[in-house]
Amino acid sequence: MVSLQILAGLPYALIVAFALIGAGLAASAPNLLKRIVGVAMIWTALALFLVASGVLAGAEAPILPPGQGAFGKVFSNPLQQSFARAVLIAGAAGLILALAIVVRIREAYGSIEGDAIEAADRAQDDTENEA
Amino acid sequence: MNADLLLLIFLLAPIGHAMAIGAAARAPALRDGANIVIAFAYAWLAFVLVNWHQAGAQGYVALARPLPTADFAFAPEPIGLTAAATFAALGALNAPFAGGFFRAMQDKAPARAQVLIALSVGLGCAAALAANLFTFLLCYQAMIVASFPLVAHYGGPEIRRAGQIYFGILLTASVALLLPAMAWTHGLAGRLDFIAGGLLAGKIGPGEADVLLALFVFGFASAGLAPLHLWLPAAMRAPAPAAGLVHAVVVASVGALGLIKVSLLIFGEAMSQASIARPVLIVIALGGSILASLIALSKDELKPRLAYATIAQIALCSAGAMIATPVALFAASFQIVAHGLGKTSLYFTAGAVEALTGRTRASELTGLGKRMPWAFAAFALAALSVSCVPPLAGAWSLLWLVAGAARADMMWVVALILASCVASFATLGPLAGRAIFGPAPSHPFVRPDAASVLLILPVAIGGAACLGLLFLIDPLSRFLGVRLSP
Amino acid sequence: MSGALFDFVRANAPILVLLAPLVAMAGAALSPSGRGAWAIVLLGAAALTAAALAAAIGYDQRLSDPLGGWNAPLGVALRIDGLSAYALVLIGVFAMLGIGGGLGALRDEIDRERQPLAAAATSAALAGAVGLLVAGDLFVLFAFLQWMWIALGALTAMGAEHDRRAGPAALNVVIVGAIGTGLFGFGAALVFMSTGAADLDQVSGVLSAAEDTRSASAGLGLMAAGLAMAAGLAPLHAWAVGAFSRGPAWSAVALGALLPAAGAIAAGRLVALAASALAPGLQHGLSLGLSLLGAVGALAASAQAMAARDFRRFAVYAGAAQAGCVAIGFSAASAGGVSGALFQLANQTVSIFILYAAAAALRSESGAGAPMQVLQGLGKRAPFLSLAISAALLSLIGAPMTAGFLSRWSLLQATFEARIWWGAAGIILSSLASVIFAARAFERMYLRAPAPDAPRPRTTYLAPGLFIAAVMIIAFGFDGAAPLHAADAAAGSLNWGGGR
Repeated sequence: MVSLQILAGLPYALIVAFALIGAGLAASAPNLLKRIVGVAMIWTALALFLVASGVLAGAEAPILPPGQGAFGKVFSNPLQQSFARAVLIAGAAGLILALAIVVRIREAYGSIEGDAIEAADRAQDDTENEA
Repeated sequence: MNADLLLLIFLLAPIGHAMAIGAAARAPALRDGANIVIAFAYAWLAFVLVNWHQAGAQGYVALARPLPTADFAFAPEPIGLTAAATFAALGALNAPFAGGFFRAMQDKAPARAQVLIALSVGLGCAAALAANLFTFLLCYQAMIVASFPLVAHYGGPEIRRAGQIYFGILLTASVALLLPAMAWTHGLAGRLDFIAGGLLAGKIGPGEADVLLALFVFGFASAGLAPLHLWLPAAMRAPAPAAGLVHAVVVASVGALGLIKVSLLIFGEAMSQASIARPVLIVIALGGSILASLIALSKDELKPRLAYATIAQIALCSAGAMIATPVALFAASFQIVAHGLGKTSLYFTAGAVEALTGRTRASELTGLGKRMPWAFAAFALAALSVSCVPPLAGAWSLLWLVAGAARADMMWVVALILASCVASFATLGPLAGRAIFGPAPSHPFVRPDAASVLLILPVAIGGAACLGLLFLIDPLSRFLGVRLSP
Repeated sequence: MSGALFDFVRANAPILVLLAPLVAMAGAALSPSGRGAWAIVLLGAAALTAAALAAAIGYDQRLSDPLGGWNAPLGVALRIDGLSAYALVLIGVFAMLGIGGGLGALRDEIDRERQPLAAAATSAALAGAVGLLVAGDLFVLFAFLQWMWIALGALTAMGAEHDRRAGPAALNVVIVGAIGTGLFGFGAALVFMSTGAADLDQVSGVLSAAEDTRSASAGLGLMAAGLAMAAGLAPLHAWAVGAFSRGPAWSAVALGALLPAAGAIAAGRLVALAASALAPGLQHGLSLGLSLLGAVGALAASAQAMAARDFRRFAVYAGAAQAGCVAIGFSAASAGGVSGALFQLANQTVSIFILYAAAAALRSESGAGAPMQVLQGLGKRAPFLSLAISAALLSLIGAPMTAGFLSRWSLLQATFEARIWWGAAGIILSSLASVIFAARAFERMYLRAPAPDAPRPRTTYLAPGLFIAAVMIIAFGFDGAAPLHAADAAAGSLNWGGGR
């Protein structure tokens, strides 16, 4: 079992910091595209985090060269790498959808600034809920 | 017919009552006639129920099982039955009065008010007959909901505000205090039944008992303990037949009855564990009673004055429940009957005066007794009775309450009770005197037909009953199972 | 159903509950007409319910389906235990009622050529919710979570033709979902790093033997937080406000009530797993924190519901307030508390479904908004619809003789027993707050005169669902033994706090 001590390692700290910056952007950036960039940063960091956690010192990529056995060799854990691939796919799906929606928002509102859009929505709410 | 069926009919009768009024809403004569007939039949049913109970046929009805450990069930016991019979009888007296009152005031929606009065009284009776705390609470809350539109009957922003105060205080207290108290009780005892000897006897320690008792006492805000008494003055915006019977008598009495039941059937012997809370609550009840009388003196509007007098007088019930000796509990139960009868008569007079002369202030009553002799004779009798002046009915509650306190070695309580009765007398006694002996006004009546018999007869009967209750004390004490000889 | 078929369905329930909405999704996407797609999706929900019921009948026995015969750690497994069987039945039934009732809204609000896609997206979101409940593996759970968010985002965006406000709402769903899923992913990575296992059963096994479980518990906590977004627990419910009050009414009525329920149960399972691995002191802290979070969330959401001017938004806030109470129940960390929470969750689903269905019946021609004025004088205009709304509101308050009373009562008992005074206060205060916001709705429905030009409520398809849900509230209020027993049984399969 690997304990939290590895978190002390610099790569992890950097990855987590990267993810936090992404989360801040995604949650509060006024520009919709910047929010999407933030999301992409979180997910990239997540993939990196997974891959990093499977790396062993001095290990090779878990690819079996043709004609050779695996005996006596040290591989990085392939499980994390396959997870990371899943993360990238799922993340890409979300990003594509988000970008498509932003295009439609731009068509409908003429803006991709969150504040302006929110103000327009509020105004529409207010006219509906009058009296 | 067996007792269970009778009980079920009694419980469901108010629904039929309300539907009958609603069906005849557009035909005033038919509507009032049906209201009066059904109200009397309902009262008669209540007395049959009492008689059967005395003969040993007790009855039990379970309608649903909303909690795994508590049915929605009804099982009459003497104190609750006495209260229910009182409410039903007063409801019968109120029916003709309400008919006369709404006609005289040319009310816009008399049918709605009569429906709600019938439902509130019915729910009050149902609460009185509840077999367990859950059922009591449910009927109590339903009664609050049913009586709330009566407060807002006349409409308008100020009156809506009064309705919010009424509803807000009573319902908030019942949800925020009674519900946790009930959950706590369930946690301690595993069920919620009313049990002779006390559900919690032997299951609760000193500190817990103090807190739990306080939760119950303030949770039943309709018993009018300060500082949760403001709902009653707010309720005075209701038309007189509702303000009098429903709010000042049924709602307030059901709160007091809740305290009596909690003291006798939930705590029982465990009341002795609440050795800190009891004296404190007695002081709050009786001190509040004296203060309420003083406030009543400062009110010139008749209905608010009566409301504060009610707060003062219903507090005797709460005090009796906290003293918790058998005699004190009997006194508290008897006070529900005596106070209900007296206070209804007082509101009848106030309503009759308002309907016939348009006067709503205490100072305007001077000499009116010479023009409305029957009404004010009854008013005087009722005023003396609720102020516990011998030999009227109310005096007996005072007497037994004092005896109960003395037997519990609480002599300071005796002093407080007497002071409270003196203050209570000061609010209503002189008023009755001025009304009867003052100089008569020349042209008091705003309506040519003067006193309608519908308005005056219930007043007179109520006043007479305050006197007549004297003769009921022996059978009543036997029914309630208390030996009154010292 | 004959015996052999029943056994087959039961044995394969974990994969069938997932296949039903997925196949329906594919069928709906290929269907030429909106109505045909709707029928296919409805059929998928029915199949899901049937398989869930078959699994629930044997909930004493845990159903496990290692896909392709590969066992963990190499393969992934789908599992149904008592908890997920309970949740699946709940979700299946309300998917049927909601999808069945939503046809009118689907046809009114979504472009004709997109109707099949909208139906397919709905089925996809439903499959995601089911996946959250049957996935036995951290990373499969992760994939279903993201899947669900994407499907919901796409569905919400399809409302933008009818009301452009659905666009930003959809983007918000996708972004919030991605943040939540990212959080979940980091948690899952942490758990995997510290236990070496991705299968939940193995994780639990490793944790019960391990000495230092703090990092794994932190990971489980992160995962639960990611799922709590799906549960709509305030203050993480902003996405639901957009999706269900500005998106199409169809999505609210078909999914609005059940997605939060699935999220809450999946989150509850992880919190329970984390708690069982913690030392008693930390367990107590977790329970305190969760109850505080629940109480604050319940009160904040109730306050928002009081101020809400839009009926659908009102429903979202009311649901978020209930989710707070559910969190309090989980925090009691006892069988009683979890059972109360599950029962409360079911009641919440029923009541919120009624509110969304009523909002769909009262939808306007012009846009997605359903201002509170639509309730004006409804008591006269549509007495039965008003009665259903009243039943839902009373149950949300926890009024006696409705199902809501019993669940609040169970929660109150559990918090008293566990001495979580915060939680008890939160439940009581949120109940009081619900009285206030419900009173406002009652006043509009029964005391105000209807507007002269108020449109007739369109309840053609919604009536059966509304009727069934309202009857459930009242019937279980009169005798709550059946749902209480089901919740107890489901809670029994959750091992909370028994680990150490």
